[in-house]
Amino acid sequence: MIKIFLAAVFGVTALGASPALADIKIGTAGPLSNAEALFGNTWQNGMQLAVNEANAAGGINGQKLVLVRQDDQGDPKQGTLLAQKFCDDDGVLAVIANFNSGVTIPSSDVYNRCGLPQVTNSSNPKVTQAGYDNLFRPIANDFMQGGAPAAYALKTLGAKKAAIVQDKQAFGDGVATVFRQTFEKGGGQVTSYSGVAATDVDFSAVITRIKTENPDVVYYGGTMPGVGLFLKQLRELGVKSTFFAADPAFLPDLITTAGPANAAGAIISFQAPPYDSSPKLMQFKTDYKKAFNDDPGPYSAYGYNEAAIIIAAMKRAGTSVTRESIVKELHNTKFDGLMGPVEFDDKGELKSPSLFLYKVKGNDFTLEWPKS
Amino acid sequence: MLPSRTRRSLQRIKPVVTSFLIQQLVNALTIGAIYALIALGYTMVYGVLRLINFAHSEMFMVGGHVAFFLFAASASLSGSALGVLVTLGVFAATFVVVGLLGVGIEEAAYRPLRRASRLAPMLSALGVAIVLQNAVMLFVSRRPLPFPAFLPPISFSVVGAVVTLDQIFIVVFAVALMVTLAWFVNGTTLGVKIRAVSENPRTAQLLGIDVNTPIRLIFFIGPGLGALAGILYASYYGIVVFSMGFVVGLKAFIAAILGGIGSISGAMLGGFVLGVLETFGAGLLPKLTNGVIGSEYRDIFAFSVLVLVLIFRPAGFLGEVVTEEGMVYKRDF
Repeated sequence: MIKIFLAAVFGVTALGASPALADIKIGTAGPLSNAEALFGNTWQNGMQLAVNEANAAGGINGQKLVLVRQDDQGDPKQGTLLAQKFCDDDGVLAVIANFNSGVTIPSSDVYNRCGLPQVTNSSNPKVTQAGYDNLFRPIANDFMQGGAPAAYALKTLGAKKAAIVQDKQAFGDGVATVFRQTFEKGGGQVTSYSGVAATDVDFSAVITRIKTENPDVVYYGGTMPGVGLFLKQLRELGVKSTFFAADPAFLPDLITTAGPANAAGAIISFQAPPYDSSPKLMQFKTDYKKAFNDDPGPYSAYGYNEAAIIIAAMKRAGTSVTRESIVKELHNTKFDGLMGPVEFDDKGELKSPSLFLYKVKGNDFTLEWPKS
Repeated sequence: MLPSRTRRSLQRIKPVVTSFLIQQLVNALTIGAIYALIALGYTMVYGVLRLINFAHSEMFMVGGHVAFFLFAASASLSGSALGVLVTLGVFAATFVVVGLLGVGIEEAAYRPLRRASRLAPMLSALGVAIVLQNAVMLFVSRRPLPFPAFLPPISFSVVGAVVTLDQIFIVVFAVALMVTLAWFVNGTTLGVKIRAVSENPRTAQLLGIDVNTPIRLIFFIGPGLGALAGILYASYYGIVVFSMGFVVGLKAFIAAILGGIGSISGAMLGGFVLGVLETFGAGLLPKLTNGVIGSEYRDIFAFSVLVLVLIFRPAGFLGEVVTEEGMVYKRDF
């Protein structure tokens, strides 16, 4: 249906007397080929869906929108290279980049220099620390991500002792630090705060030490496949503490890597509610399935939301859609998004962020908190 | 004599400490056995060709991937009574496939350079490593693949420490392979040829030994053992990924140097010593230093050990100390 429509639009412009207008490009860079490839690809599919819908509804001032999808490999070097490439392309009016905090922090310097509006999906608090006027984050930051599980462990589980492990990356260390602060502030005791290398596969030495501390909960701040391997070895070495991890673990890979028996009961924090929790999200799931012949990935709804926020700002910018006018309009965002209202504070942070905790049951994640 | 209160509290924590130490020892032996198996490949090639075969770490990686596909292809057979046979078959087939790959690499990338300077084959080895790693990344998968466990998840409790069937199997299997290899090198005619070529290739040639036979053999056995280590490693941790060889390969290389590169028993010893140092370093130092030195320093232990050994005992634990006089006979070839 979309295809037919596009063909029709294209046909009209090709036959019409007026010269064809240039396309408006929205750039995006995310991890498409590393361990987080599933996140990156389905995240960008979400954006594609929003762009397709906008084009089907007539585009922006008759101009067609094009999503330029790039692979930053979760690598800061690649991320800044791509940032420069987008900056140098005058047709690119906005970017949705990047997925990983470690990549967004350096790339945001580049985007800021050329005044390109940047909407990011990275959650580290440092991302918005530079106070760039052109940077927006429509998701919960790590204060939520690390804080909510700590509060849950203290209040709901009545936990007293926590052992924390993190992978020394911007994201992992960030959430783990917030978890630690929240847990200690709430009267809990952190028995150890250990670092591992993000590429480690053998955690037995750390886990054996954690075992002697006998903690109520174990928190892992880091990404896949580390989380899965850690969880597997944690259970194999006989540690029965409740396991918590942050959103990179919200993947079926977690359960296959650790094994369903080892993964059972693990609690994972994630920004999006389940796809069956609201009519809007259910509709999104249906549309996504129609377009890509697959269920949406963990971040698809966010990709969609982020693209929709930019498109709405372009529409508000009226006849002069430029990088500057989009930045200006993004600040005025009052948008009813898929997951709730979107408004930014002066730092570009989401005003009312949300966070959900999921528990592994069998081969699935089920909503654990907040209970509706 | 300690004050009685201290003694009593020591007695109270003693079981915890014992189980902690035993657990760390089990962890150390498991990873050490894997290092030792890979180290054998480095040391055997070095012993004969005076070449650091940097492509060896990728034999380990390729081994994991070959076994991954063999297990996937035979998935319908496992679980039945044939399960054990299938597993053994996969081990044997992987050994042969990767062994032949090793022979092929020697033929194509090292033999033409045998008379060139010592740097040339080493660079060639690095090149082969890069090619293999990228080939697997591009044609197989960029993402880690879940590797099946071929042993049931059984674990035993030994004085409070958990020992899994996996760990026992890895250590026993690796030691059995090493014993077999030691017997092969020391007790068979082919082994004699290998030792002769390693001692002095030119004299061996003068005495009627075709040097290429032992060299081919070494490039078959070394990669084969590396590939088996790859299977053990992949099934123990549950994943295979194209980049898995690099760090493990470097560690095994350190193990080979630690034991004395060129010495087969040295590589075995070096592997276990490195495993113990690394595990206890990562497990104990954070406790002793109260978290100042964290477990993330794990790799630093391994590399510090390398530096210390190179400074104080360049020949390693069991390597022969090469005198200047000896150097005349053991010139590069």
